[in-house]
Amino acid sequence: MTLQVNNISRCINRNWIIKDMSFEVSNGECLALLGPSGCGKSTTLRLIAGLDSPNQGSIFIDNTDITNISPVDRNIGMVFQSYALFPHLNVLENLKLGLKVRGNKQTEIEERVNRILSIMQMSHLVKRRPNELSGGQKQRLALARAMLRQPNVYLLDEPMSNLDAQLREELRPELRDFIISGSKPVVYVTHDQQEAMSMSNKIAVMNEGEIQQIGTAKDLYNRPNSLFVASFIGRPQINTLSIKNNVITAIRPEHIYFNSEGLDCKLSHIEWLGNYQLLFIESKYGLIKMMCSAEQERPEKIKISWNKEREHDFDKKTGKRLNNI
Amino acid sequence: MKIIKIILSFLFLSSFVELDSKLKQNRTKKEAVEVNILMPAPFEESTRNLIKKFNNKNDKKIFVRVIRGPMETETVSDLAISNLILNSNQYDAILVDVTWLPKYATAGWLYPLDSLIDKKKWDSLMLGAKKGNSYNKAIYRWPFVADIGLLYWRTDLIKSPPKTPDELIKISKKLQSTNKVKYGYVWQGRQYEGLSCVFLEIIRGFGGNWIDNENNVLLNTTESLEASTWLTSLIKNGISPESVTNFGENESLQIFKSGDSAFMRNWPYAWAELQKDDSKVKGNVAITTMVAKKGITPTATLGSWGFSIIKTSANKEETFKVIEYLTKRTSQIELFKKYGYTPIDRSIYSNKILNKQFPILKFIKSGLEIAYPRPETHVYAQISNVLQRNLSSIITMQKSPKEGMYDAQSDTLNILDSVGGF
Amino acid sequence: MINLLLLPAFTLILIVFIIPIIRYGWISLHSFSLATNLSLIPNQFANWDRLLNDSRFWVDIYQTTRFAFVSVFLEIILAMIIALTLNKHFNNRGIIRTISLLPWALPTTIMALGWRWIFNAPYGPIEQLIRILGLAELNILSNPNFTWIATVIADVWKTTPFIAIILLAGLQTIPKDLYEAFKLEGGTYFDSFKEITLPLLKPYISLSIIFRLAQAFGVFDLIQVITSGGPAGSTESIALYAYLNAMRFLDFGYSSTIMVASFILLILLILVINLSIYSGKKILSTIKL
Repeated sequence: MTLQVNNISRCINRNWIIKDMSFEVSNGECLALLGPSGCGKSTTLRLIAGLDSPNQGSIFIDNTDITNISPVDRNIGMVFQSYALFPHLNVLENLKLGLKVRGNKQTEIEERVNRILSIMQMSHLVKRRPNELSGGQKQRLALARAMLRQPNVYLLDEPMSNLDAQLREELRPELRDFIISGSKPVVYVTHDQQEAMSMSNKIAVMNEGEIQQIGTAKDLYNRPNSLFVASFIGRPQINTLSIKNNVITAIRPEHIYFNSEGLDCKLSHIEWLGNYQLLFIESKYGLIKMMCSAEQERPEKIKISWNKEREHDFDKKTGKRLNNI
Repeated sequence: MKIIKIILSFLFLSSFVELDSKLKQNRTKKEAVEVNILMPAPFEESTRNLIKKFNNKNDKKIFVRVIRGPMETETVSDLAISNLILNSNQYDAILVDVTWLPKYATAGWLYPLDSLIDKKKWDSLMLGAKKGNSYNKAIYRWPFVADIGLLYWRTDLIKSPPKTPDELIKISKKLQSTNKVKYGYVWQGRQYEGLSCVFLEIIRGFGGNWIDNENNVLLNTTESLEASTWLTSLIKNGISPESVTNFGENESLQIFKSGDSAFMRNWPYAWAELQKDDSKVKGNVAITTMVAKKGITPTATLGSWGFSIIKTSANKEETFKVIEYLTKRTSQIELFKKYGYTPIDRSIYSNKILNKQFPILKFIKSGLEIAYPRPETHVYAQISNVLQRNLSSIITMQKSPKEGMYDAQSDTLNILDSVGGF
Repeated sequence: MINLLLLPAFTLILIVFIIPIIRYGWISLHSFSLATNLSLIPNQFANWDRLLNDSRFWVDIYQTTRFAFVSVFLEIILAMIIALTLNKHFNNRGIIRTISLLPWALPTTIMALGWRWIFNAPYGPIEQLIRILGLAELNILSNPNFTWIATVIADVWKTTPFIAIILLAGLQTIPKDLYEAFKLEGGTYFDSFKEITLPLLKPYISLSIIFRLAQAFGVFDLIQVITSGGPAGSTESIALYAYLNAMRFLDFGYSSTIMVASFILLILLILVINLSIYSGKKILSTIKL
């Protein structure tokens, strides 16, 4: 099965929220939609789910045009950012409700629910209401509900954003095992690039309703096609320097090293970050961040350098990539 | 939303605010004795000019402050009672309705006026105006304006008004069948005090009474049965609209004013309303006394307002001076001319100039001569309530006249028994 | 021990609520009327004895309860429709919300006068309409079998917006996500009303029911203005009867008895309703989302 999004646009109150967007996610593939808040990534998800409809363009699942069919008939498993669990129903009822309104037989409902409960190891929680579950359990229930209907496509809207950092790390493998490594296309919305990189096969970086670049995490890191992608991917943020006229030269802090023949600089201050340190260095091109190992010793006279092939050149006006490496 | 609510509640409260600012504004020098009088809103308006005149002369020794009460009679009583029961000493005098007097007097709130009253002045009053001022042989109220139930009729439809109940029905039927008029007769049939007033006139017109001078309750008699049957027949025969059972004074007036009815029972105030430009019967209206069976003197229910001095007042003599001023002959004439208030001084009715100018005086006089007060007992409110409920049941066909009158009689006796008689 | 922070609220409730009720209870065990020169004379349970045998009191209880239940029932249904409508996004929603609250903002006496005019026969708008339709006269205010319906209509008109606002507040606490998740699962509009809206709105609905029942049970000014309790006493409410006894008849002993008795009946009524609404369910867990 393949999810195809062809040239969709969405306009609300004369604002183009989504502009001519296209992408494709095939079976077993996980596409992360990554971008700052308000860039249109959640809207994209809602358009695929059928909770909203595009002004232009079409959406296909497995070569079937689903642009104008009802949400339920698209057979989509969606996990909401808030999990959207029914607060007045217990775990069992939460799972059963959908099957009930779709008119499944009682015996079938029981069987499917029980199977999913044991897969998710939630059988002992069936009587609990959502507010009696932990954050992780809630997420698992939301996943269970999405899986229960054996959907054609999974849509995950910031599924981890309500969890604390530690829990997030713990739950990543779970989410990967249950859904992402399955055989269905998955669209995963997040604003966290680490999450995007670790969970998906490819990433679409979005800004202002447009996809800036689609590619693997490596592609985006090594070869950003615009200044926006370069700045968005990679932490600490990439250095942007004006070395040549009308060109912005970007160099990642981790690609800068000390070189006694390099650029004359002055150390401004240091952030020590455990396994590495971040040096803030004043140069004639402006402030430069340099990342190096925590053990790295600093020379008395700060002089820095970087390999020419690590330079990314962007047009100052359009932000488009100029050099090819 | 909040703003609208604020505006509306402001409008609602503004009457009180107005009152309050008036209180502040009118504070005067300390040497003047302050006299506070509670009046229903319409009277506060009509006496404003007289009060102003009084406060300006009189060497400023007495300063009168009128507290403007609500519009409706019974609501004024509620306000007065809430003050009196707390002994808050807010009022020196209250303008009281005739039906409140026994209740207030029994409660011990009123000061007997006998010692203040000039015998000659008392004798100058119309007979009807003297009624309803005393209780248990003491005078508690000096009359201000008399009110009597009158029968209004249309001079453009008939030459002379009906005298008996049968005639009223006969003439109405004739006028209705010839499509001269939609209804024959409109009156006050709502379950409220007005219904008791209507009934008192009718039951006496049939030769009976509500409670006679020996305090016998006469509701379960042939006459009362005839009277209530007659009222019911007005509705059954379409002489009165079915909706008359929810009519107060105003609803009756609206119908008569629009020219839809040949007769109306109402108080004297209606006369001025019918002379206004929006009245379709202007110039075609006359008044007469209520119908009564042949050989029986008709009755006009007495409704009157008068001033009572509150027992706790510290300035009783000054208060009485104010009352004398407000009720003196010239004040009466002023109020009659401007507002149509029924005068109470006998000499006004014999004044030729006034009679010529206001032909209605003659009819009011004949009404006042037959004015009859409602039962004078401190449980009047209870027994009137019982009568209203049962009459309302009768005219809305919930009870037969016989049943209703029987219940009214026994309920009235129960009330009187429970308080040990009158 | 009473929490010190609760003390001010508790004192307020004590002063404005508990003490008056206790005092009414105490007065109800006395003769306190014109017949006793407005002084309190103990009479054991004479007032209560009279009350139990006073058919007018029991008829008024029936009439008041009928008024309260029918009004509140209609109000809840209409308010639900209005709240669901106002909860949608449409142009000028703010203005329409405000306008729809207007009836509630009007003082009762003023709006009751308006309704008295509307129902008035033969000149009121309703009678005019009926005449245009070629039907017979309705005379709703003159027919003891139907007049109470007129008072219900006036009350529904006035109070529905208030409940609608409570329900609207409730609707707005329900996350949109729930409806969307349910929609993906195949729930229709009706399904989601039944499975999500109603259960999550339950605390708000029961709050409205209890609040409004208590209020409707004490209906006074509306009826005083429209019918004065007539015709044939068919619209007299308990509050009107208590008022007549106190302010018109100056029988404070019996009036207090009526008030205390209706207070007890109201408390019982609310307890029964509470039990039937919350029976066996932990409502708190639904409130704390």
